[in-house]
Amino acid sequence: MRLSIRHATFQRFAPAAKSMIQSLRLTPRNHEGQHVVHWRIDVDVECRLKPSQDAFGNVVHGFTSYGSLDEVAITAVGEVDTFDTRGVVNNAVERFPPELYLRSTPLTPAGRAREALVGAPSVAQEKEALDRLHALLRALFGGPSPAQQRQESSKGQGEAGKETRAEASSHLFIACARALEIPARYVAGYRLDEAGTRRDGMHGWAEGFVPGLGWVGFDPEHGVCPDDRYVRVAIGLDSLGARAIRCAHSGGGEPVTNVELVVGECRTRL
Amino acid sequence: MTAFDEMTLPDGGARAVYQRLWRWLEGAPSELLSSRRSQAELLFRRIGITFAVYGDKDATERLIPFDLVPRIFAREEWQRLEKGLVQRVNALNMFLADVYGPRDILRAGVVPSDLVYRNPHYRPEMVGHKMPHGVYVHIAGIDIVRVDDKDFYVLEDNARTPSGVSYMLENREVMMRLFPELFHAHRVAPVENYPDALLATLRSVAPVTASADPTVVVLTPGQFNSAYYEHSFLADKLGVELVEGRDLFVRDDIVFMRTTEGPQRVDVIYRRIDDDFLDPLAFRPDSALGVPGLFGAYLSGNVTLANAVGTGVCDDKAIYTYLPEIIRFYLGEEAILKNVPTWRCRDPDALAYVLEHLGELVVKEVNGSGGYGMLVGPHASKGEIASFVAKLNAAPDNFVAQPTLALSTCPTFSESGISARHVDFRPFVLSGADGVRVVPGGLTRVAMKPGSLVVNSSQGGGTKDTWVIDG
Repeated sequence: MRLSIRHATFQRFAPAAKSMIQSLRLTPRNHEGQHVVHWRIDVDVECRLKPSQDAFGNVVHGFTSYGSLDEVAITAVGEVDTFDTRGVVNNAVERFPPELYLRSTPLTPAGRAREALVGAPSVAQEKEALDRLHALLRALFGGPSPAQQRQESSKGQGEAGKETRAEASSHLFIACARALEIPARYVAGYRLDEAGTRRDGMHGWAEGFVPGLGWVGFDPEHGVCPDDRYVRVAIGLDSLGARAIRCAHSGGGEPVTNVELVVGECRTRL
Repeated sequence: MTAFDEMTLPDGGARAVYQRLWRWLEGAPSELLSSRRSQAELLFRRIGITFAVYGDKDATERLIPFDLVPRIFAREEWQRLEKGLVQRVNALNMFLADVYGPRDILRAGVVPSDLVYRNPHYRPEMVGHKMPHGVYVHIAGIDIVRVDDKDFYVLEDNARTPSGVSYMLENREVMMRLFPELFHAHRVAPVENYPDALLATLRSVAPVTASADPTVVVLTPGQFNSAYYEHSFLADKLGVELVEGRDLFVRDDIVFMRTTEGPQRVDVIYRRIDDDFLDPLAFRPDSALGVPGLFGAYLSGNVTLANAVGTGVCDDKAIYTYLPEIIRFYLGEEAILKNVPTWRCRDPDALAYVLEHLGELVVKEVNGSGGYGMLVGPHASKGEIASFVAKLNAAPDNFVAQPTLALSTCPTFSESGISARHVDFRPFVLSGADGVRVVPGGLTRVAMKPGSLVVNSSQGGGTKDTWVIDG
């Protein structure tokens, strides 16, 4: 499937900011499940986009800009050919042994995972890593998931309260997998949705490492493994490491951010 | 438990190195010592050397107790210690260059890889970036204890932002004012050149893009930090600017300092801010202490941070237990400074032993520091022990245990005259482009309560001047 993606982020500063520095993880890379046909990033203020790679192999663009900055639009546009690999991610850029992805982070605390696993005895009954991950996916998907409950209860509690649904459910999935000694990580990316094609921000899901198979994606928000509707953009130990845009500014007010994201299928190939 | 006393011999005489001081103390009237003590307190108040105790609401700052009686090392003892420190810090730097580079030591199975990969202070972001001259730990504080007159034991390595060096300098200054006659009688090695050595070290690791006269700054989290006094003291002694995060900014991967004469490029930052707070763009997004974009500039090689990011991995007390193997792996030598025997609670047999013997062991969190979150078995209440049993069972990986060492004692001025108190020692080791150097001295911490083994200033410990003397 060829997906056409347009991801625009508008930041409004009132009063205007004097300077800003941002780092963007908005560029997908190739692996066996996806080929980037073309991709570009536009920033509508005066700046130089400096490309680099972070430690995990994500493509990062950094820029600094000066002057009276009241509105900034950051737009990523491109097309990606995708193939259904049933969630298996082959030949992606890997910089670390899977072991690294066993460490817990503040967003994926081990304590939360233990509680969730107590409520899902089916997971521990499975023997193989792949079966365990699938059982975990089933256990976390549907019903009033612990992820949603927690999101309700943690509203307004700083960083954790800002988690999107996809982030919250993925973080819980990752924490549970790690508690079971299965390396797991966060993936930020795009998803073609059946009902309409607009979302409030980037989608996120998890990947678990299965010996013999490699990294396998699991989308706990939708209860499926990623197929050709998904485009992987960035990975991290949690959503913070894979966040699309990180911005710091001096002067001015806190930015109000709006996102316009359209993921569509290109039906006619030229 | 009888401890080795560094001055008094079992027969009541004094060890050779303390002979002169011992005779002087014997002859000195007690009023003289009391009056010198109140003078010392006055001097410290005037200098303003204070520190803050976290969790103490009453006082934001207080004086650290200072003890008048110096602690003395003979030159020969010092030389052995120095050799061991240089060896150890060299190995630490090579270990860091390796775990952030080819990871040979993990492949060789010398250090279990999960200890590195799962360590919260191991920064994946640093992998593949070489530091100027291969130096990661520019300033190390290695905590040393003695249990006899032969060996030095390393209690822990501080490779992040070790503090306390201002006490070494201030204590010496106060001692020289109060006891000129003692300095006349002893040939005490000077420590006053520490700021020069530190500045030379920092300048030597400036990026290649820096000018011949690189700009060095001290970056502090601000006046609410417990060591703020030391930050401002060091900046003053170094003759460089003391800055907070908001005084710096990054433009196109180059760090600038705001000055009244416009932006000035910064080449080396002696930072006293933890990794997590350095750069809201790269680490904790809620950090208001750091400089956005600093980490990008750092990885681009346009600025040097001292110490490097991610050095905390070798402060880990589980990694510590592997230091003898690490030294053998990189240097092919046996460790000159011994490690305190340590049980790794991650190992089930060790955990079982520790749980059985909690009453006689010191249990430490692998990532703890400053005496917070540790259990001193012999002095713990039943409740404390019970809570540690629960903690150990819940997360054994987080703990190591050590025997309660009979730390050496030194003569210390107390209400009832001179009596022995337990001490430890933190020398400061500098690593730059031209190698490793140690100023002959350091911070001796002393437990002011009789019999107490806890010397941390945050827990009521005091300090002493430390002398290295010839003949």
